[in-house]
Amino acid sequence: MKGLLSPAKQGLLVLSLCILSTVLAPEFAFTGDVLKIYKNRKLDAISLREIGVADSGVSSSLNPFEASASWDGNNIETPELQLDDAYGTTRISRNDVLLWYYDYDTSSGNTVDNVFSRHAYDVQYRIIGRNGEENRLSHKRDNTSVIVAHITEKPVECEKKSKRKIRCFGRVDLDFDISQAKRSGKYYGTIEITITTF
Amino acid sequence: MLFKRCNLRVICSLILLLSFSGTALAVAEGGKESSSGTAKVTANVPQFIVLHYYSSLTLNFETPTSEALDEGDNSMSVSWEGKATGDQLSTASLMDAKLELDGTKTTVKMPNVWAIRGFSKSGNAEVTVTIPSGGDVLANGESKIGMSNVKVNDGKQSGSSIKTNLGGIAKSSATFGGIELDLDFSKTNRSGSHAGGQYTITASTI
Repeated sequence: MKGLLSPAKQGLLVLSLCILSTVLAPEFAFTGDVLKIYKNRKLDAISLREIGVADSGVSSSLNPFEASASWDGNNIETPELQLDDAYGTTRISRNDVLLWYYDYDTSSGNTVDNVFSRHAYDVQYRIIGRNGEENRLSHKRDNTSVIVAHITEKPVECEKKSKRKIRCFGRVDLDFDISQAKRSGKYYGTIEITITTF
Repeated sequence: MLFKRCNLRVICSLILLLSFSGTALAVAEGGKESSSGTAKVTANVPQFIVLHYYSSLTLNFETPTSEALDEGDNSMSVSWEGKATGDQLSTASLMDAKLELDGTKTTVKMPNVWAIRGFSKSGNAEVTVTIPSGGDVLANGESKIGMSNVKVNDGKQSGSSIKTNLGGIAKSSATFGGIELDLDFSKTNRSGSHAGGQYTITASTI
């Protein structure tokens, strides 16, 4: 047993092995890693230009018509109104809306180049109006006035934020259809975000 | 030395335990981690209103039925100079024809001659109708038809100004309305086209 170490040296070896085991253990989430989900996303107001009109008031003249009238003042038979298109579109988009980001500590060996090989993402989004309906934003005072909303996930992009930090961004495209909206003003909804890392 | 060996074994087991604990934690963290949260989203829709209307409309009144009304027998005294006296036809004595417009105006109701759609703060709009200056007479030379008491209606209410539903921007949710107006034929003596009547509809978001 000549080769056996003294108790003091054995203790040092144990400590060294413990430290080594910690360093060699695969790390995926250090305490320095931070997930930030934005609580509020106020989108740019929908403009008249986006709808395809120049003014908030539009007069649309219909073709003249002739109708027979009786002397007793009964209802005149008028032709069915054929409404002209008065605007361009009801579909509005808000692209690259940042909903969350993940900061990774570079001390764990993360780099912009290897972050995806070390951190695989599965992100689920669900958008719910204030009225409780899925894929809707609802008006603040009228639950029946809604904007149909669809969310499309964009690829997560990462960049070096500082010497010790890599930031990965969770962005989405939001597509709205205002054809079921009745009122002007603010429409509210909540996006539920579930991020699973592997 | 046995003790020391045993002691070393114990320590080695401790090392393995620590290593195992560290690995297990890493697997738990690295295997599958799930985080969730919510983001409130706000979108803002502008005010907007579209008024659809007819720029011109022509009303063709039906031709009154020609009648020959027999006012009955009459006997008149006639002098040798040719002067006749006795009962004569007068306003009071004329028999009623099928069409009589004395002291009355014809109220014309035209449904579905305007429509509105769009967005407003309240979800409603105000629709008003007026007759502009000079627009209250339809003329054919000296023959005139007076136009007055113009109203808008939406099938539920009627008036010179009404508050009505603004159901959104889609055609399928447009609100349709009509016009009522009175026509006075008391100064009309010509057949044919009488032109010049005007009304103005104004739709506003409220």
